[in-house]
Amino acid sequence: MNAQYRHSQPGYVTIAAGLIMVTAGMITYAYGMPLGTILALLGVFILVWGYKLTVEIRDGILKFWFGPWVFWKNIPLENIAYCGPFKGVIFGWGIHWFPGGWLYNVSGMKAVTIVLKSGKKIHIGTDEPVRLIEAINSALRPAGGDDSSEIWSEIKSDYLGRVEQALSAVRHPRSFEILADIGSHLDQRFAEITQQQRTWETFQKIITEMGPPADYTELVGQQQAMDKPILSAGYVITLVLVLAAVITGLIVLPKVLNKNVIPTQKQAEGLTQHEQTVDAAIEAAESWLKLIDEDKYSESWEQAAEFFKKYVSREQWKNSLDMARKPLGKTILRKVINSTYTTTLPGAPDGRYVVIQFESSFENKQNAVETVTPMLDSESRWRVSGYFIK
Amino acid sequence: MDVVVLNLLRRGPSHGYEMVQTMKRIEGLQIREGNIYPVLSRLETDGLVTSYSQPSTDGPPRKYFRLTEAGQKALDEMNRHWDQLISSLEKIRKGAAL
Repeated sequence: MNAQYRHSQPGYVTIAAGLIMVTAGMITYAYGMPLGTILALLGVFILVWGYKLTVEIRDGILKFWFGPWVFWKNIPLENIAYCGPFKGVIFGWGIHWFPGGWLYNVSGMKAVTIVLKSGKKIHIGTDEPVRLIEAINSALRPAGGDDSSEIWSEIKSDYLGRVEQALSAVRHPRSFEILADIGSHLDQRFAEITQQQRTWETFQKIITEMGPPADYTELVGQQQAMDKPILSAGYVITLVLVLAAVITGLIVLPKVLNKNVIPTQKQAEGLTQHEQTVDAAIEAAESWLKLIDEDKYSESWEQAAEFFKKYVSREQWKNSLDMARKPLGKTILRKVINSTYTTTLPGAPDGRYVVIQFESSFENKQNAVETVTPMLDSESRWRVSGYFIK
Repeated sequence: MDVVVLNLLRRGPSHGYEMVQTMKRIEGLQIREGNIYPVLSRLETDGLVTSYSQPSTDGPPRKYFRLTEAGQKALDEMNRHWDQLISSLEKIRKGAAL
């Protein structure tokens, strides 16, 4: 059976929110913040889930669902007691609790309230509340072969749609209330005509007596129509969300960029100096390690920092290497895995140090970590002040 | 039309449909039925009338309108103006000295 009613409202707010989150997530992820992935994935979910809200009436059931079919709800028409305009202020989009029932919406500030026979309320967001109410009420009417009711329903719906369009054109702030009043008026007119009078001609006469839709725009007053703020509450909230995202980006990004990506000129100079410092220390450490690789233990002691030599004698050093290094055999591979510049080290005087870790492989030990700590001496030369193998 | 609607409400609260039916019974005041709603909406926005919902025995709740204090003052002013206009017109029609 064909749907008696089906309409999808685009979720402009949810699309905007999703895009902002995806963009913000991608930017933050690109700059090394792992939370960016979660933010971006959440944004994708919101985009897929909330890009539209569809309402359908078919086979005695009112259905509505988000996106392609992400979340849906079926309400048998027989469970509906009343359907009318949502009276309240919408303060958010998605699925949220509203006094009296759950509100499901993706954009805009309009909704329809459905009161179930159980007393529960459900509010469904829509950009054409009058037509939806009319469609639900039409579907609720008992089927009894009364074709005139269906014809009237179509004529009424068409008229209300045209009035809705006319009022929307002048952005009248109370168009929804006016449409609801006109709908009630038409219901009253229909209720007062007898079964025999229920003909297409009578219905057309009633519509003619209501007046052309263009009349309404003139009667609400041009000034009043224009009184509606250009930025409605929905637009303001969207604007605030976008601005919040932009401001957050402007606050967070420079910090991230300054820290990890694009240094200022001064910082760049400092960074270059720092890199040069570390490179020189690594070079000194590698030269020194080469002495040990070549079993030149005594010479390595000679080349070490004064601080080192002060605490470790030449003999102690040779003995230590004989015990710890010699059994490992020839060096097969060595590469720097970490280097940290520091001015303080536990148990050592303040100075300029670079703690370097090498991932090393020896003839008799495949995986080892060598930690070498060169320090800058009084002659501005890098000399090793510490050495450990693990 | 504003003055007609406000005068109808001077008699007491009423709903749109009832006001339309009343106007239809008065010669010269027949209007297009739907036209009363944008007028009532405008008067309510201007603070001259206020609305409230009241249960109905034969359908959904009805929306009733009633005059506000500001509406009463505006109506008095409008009626004075109309009385003056009609009086002046009468004088002209009767050929009174100008």
